[in-house]
Amino acid sequence: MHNNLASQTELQSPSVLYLLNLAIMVGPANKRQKREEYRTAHREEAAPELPKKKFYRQRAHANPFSDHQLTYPISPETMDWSPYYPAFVLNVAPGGTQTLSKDVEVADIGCGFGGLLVALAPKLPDTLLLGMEIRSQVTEYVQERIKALRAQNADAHLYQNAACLRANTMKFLPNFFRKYQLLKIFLCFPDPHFKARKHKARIVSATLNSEYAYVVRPGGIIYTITDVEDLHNWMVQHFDSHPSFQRVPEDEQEADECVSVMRTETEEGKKVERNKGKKFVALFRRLEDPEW
Amino acid sequence: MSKLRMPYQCIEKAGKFLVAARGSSIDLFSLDDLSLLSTWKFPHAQGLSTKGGTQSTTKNHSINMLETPALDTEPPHTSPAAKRRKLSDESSTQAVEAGERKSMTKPNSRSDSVASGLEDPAFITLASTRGGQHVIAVTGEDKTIRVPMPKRPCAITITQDNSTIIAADKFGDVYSLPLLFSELEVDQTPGSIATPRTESSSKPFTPAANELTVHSQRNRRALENQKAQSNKASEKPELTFEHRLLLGHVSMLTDVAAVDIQGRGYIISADRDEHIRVSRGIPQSHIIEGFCLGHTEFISRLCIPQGKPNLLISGGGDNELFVWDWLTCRLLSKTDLQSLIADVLLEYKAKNDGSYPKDEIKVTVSNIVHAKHADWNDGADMLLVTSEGVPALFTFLLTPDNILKHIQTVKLPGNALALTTYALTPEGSIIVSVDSIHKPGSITDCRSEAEATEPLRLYMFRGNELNNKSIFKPTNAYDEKQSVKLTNLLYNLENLRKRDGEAKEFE
Ligand SMILES: C[S@@+](CC[C@H](N)C(=O)[O-])C[C@H]1O[C@@H](n2cnc3c(N)ncnc32)[C@H](O)[C@@H]1O
Repeated sequence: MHNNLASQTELQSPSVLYLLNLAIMVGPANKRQKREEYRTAHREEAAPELPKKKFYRQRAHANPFSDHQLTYPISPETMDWSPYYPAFVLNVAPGGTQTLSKDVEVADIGCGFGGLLVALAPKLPDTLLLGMEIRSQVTEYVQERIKALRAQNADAHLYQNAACLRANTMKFLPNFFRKYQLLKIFLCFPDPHFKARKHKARIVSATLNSEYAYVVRPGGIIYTITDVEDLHNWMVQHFDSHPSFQRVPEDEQEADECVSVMRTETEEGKKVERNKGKKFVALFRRLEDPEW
Repeated sequence: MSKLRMPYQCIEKAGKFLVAARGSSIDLFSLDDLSLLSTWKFPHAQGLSTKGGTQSTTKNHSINMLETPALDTEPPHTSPAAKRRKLSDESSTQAVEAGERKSMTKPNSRSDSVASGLEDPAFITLASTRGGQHVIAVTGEDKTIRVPMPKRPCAITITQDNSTIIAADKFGDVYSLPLLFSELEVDQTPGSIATPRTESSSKPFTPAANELTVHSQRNRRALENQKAQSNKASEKPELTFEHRLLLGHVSMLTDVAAVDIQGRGYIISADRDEHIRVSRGIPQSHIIEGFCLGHTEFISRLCIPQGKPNLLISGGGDNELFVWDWLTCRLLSKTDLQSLIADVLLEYKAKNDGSYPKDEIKVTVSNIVHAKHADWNDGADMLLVTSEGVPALFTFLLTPDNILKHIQTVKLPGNALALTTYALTPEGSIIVSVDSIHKPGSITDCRSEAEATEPLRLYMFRGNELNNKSIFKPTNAYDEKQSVKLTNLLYNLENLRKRDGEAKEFE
């Protein structure tokens, strides 16, 4: 047997080597290809099943300071929302630009796999919700998830008010939303960036809070939740010290139905639950701008 | 040594003087007779830096304040040596002395991509107070700090009440600091949105989370990282002057303006990611009033015409110049600049490379300067525009309906670097600094000695038209074979353009 093989190998050595090389090359690519095939098939399906998360995983961190190859509107006025909320498109004269019957009013920043969006959408049926996520494959997962949910709930007309797009909100939030457009922003389990050197990558900062204040109208609410106490303290400290925000008292916080959704329906919230970890919640109200 | 004179990377008018920075030296000219009064050298040899031995690896950023000679004193009729002493002893003593008092070093391991490569830190921007008494000079890198800046400022301006310097840095933050740094204190008072530093080095390190509070795998990994990194001493000494964080973009800032209109102050800031932000002035600069959005490439220059404070002209990597009503964030007009530049450059490119596709020529606006004088053209508003590596000055008339109308392409003997206006009644003058090292139309090819040109020129308006008037009395500063390194100092705006697949980290 051994001899036999040896002679065979000798005889066919060039082709064997060739096959071996191919095998090495095909190995990892195969997995990638499978994922791509799955995702393409899912995209093309008319009434798809819910997507499987494992085909959309992506490395955890995307650098919010780099250029990526993001697409974003030049300004909110140039944003075409019709592909995201087709059920809310107003029929306009041929040739005219399509507009929606309402504006997006709730943003889930760093929405991850979309658990919050999907849970909130039926609870706020008359409000347009937008998930914003920097990782492209995670974004695609949420888009496919919403597409499937819309198809499965076509009769009840559910999930038409939820959508997700890829965006680096740290740079481009004002490209999507006008001044005072939003009613609520969710910042659920943001990346903690523990190292002091990385703190500037945090989604909450003195200067970013000014941008949240710009897109949220007075009376609107910023919702935060995290399992990292230090990050919770950081967020509280930065919103508290920002003149445009005021912490929402605890009784009011606990009476807000969005708070329990945020605790239990986000993917990260569920993970923390499984590990019996603590969750820290803080809400901040956008104040009126002072006279000047 | 080459016979090519050192070009000036920035120039600024201050009262009756012209302040011109070449590399790490500043020349002071009289605008009465265009003569060189004195030269201020970066105080490198004056014991401020670690002389000899190992070069310190620290790279710092500083703002240097120079006091210009009293406006009523006569220009000195002394020997050049004495004149030089005049500027370095009387004019800048205050700044230098202050510097020695406040001198501190701050390590910064980040390599500076826009570093000049010159031996001494080069000045990257100048600003003068409205009366012209003070000039603020910013160095790109520095080995000691006179007025320490936490990050390298890349644009500065002075508020209209002449009290405050507003500095924007390449990491996106805008700070204020008092013009006359009298009391040096860390300031965390109202108006500042900065939160106190939490990373005090004196406290023993405690990780922000422990294994019990970190639940996801990636968080746990991050915590491990943090523990591994933590036992280094805090790198940053506290800043010791009044210095407030006003606002910030998550982007590289490229220009900043402070304007008063209808009794209110505003700060306008522009970034590499196509945003022009309008914020309230101090102490409400945390409130964003709006964004002027429309650019599709980086923005590099903002100009608010004097007398028309509601207007803003912006330019950068886009083919057009934009005119805005910035208070309402409305775009009023756009004017093509690319074809004007192409017409100039094709002449030079064709000489060297034969045919050159016209639309490949990029716009990189390096100056937008407003010029207005009661006696020119019935007091019309003119805008003077230059683009990196282009040996021309483009003049536009700002029409009453806020459109920029191209008037003239003034060919220059070298690539335009910097320009400033100067009103000499009854005619208006423009001072232009041109690249005296590189060939016109090129940012890399050096001139031969036969092609030498003077770095500073004066142009005058006759009606709408600019005419070459005279040249400045030159310095004795010659290029010392640093021209390659000079390219980085003179031409760094085009680097702002995004390239496909680029992943440029700010860190
Ligand atoms: C820890 S996950 C939390 C996901 C989700 N909110 C949840 O609670 O399950 C944080 C998410 O924020 C996203 N993210 C980080 N920086 C972002 C940015 N600048 N813009 C948009 N998304 C960002 C990350 O890609 C990641 O998916």
